[in-house]
Amino acid sequence: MTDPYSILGVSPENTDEQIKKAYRELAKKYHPDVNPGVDTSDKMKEINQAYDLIMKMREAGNKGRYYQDTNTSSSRNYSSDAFNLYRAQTLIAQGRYTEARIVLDSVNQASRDAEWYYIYGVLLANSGAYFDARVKFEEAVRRDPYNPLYRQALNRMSAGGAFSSSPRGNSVSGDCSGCDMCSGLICADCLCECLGGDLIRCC
Amino acid sequence: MFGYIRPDQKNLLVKELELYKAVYCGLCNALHKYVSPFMPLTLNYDFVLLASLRLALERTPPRTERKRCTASPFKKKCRLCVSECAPLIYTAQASTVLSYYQLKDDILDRDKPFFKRALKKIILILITPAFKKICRENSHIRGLSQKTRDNLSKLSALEKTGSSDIDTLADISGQLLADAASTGLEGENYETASQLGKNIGKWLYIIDAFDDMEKDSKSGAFNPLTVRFGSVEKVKQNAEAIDAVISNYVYAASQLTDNLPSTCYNGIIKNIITEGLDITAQKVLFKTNGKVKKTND
Repeated sequence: MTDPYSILGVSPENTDEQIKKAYRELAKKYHPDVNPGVDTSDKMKEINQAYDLIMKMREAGNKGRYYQDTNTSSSRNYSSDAFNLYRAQTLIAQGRYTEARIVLDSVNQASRDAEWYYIYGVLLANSGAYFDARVKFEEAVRRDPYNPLYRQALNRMSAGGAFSSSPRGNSVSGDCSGCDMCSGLICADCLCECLGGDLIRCC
Repeated sequence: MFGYIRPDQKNLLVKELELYKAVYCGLCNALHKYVSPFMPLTLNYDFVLLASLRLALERTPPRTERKRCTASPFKKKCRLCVSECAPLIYTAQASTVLSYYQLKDDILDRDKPFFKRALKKIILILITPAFKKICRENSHIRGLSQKTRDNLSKLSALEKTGSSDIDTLADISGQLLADAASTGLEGENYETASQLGKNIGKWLYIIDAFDDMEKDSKSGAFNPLTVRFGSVEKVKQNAEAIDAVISNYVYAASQLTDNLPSTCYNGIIKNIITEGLDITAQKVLFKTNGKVKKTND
């Protein structure tokens, strides 16, 4: 995998602001509107992915730093494990399952949390190993019963397919049909009328 | 392990049902003409899906003829013309490879009743020269035979160790059908056929394991589901979970049918995958209609 920092032409020491600036400049440079007739979509995609990855990694790093204050003994591991989880997710998104498996296996036993089980489940489900994927999702739900993402993944495994290949909750949370909108407006109207106002004049 | 893949006939259009029968008869004829006069004995419904898939991927126009044959000497039946129909000839030869190894495996199985084994032995002896001939003459079939043998030995080696890694077992088993479906194709067609074959092959492995579970536990033979869940009773308690897991294979396969070029065979293929497989699964897993009959008619 190419280093996301080198794609943006920055170094890991740079601040978030500097990275954002570098990203904006590159995005301007390769924007399709600026380059008519040249296909820059691949380059744009690369830049976007690199930027997203760096931001995610930094976010994870911050989480690691937070733990550093409270729990000094496992701080180092935590931050590198969080990095590994994100790395695994990017590899899964790119379809490089063998590498993702190696990265996930390298996370040490003690710090395998619900998220680790979830990501491993996604990896297995994407590579077609549905029996083991189910076991992993069940474990993720057992460890963190209140995470809707894990529960959703397990349900998707049980509801017969529809397991999307996207690694992280890209699912549509709820459809909004014409009916829903109308009934919503009517409800709002009723509530307004209760308080003396009016939303829909005619009813 | 053959005979589970059937269409849901009630939901086929009349023309699709006719085409399905025509493919069946055409395949039977291809086995007779291009492999061995004894080969139609091994024909079953699974291979009709394989044939339809190849016919669709190679965009073969459905040329039919009405003829009498050995199986139906009095009534003329509509069947696909086999001459110059490469997909039918290929499927006939590929199914010979699968049947050959299946028969070889069956006669080693000491738990089967004696007369059944004797019958299979006779069929095996009858078709072996034809099998050797097609392997000699066709390099694709030779390659397929090699791959099938390798995968089967990998599978039996893993089964001998009593592995509980059911996903890997299913994967190797799925590869058998993937190879049979995709050999000789190229590019996108290869990918589609291979993935479709693999998912259906995996599904087949689990369904077959569930159906044979009780028999296996009596004879002490290896069964991946019993090993995975602990005992026959536990597997039965988990029937719904198994149903959920294998419906993922069906879902993956049904997504892949969108990649097929639009031909008259698509209706049959989609029907078998989205409806036929599920009916079989319900019958096997929940015994809604007794044990599935494995017939070779």
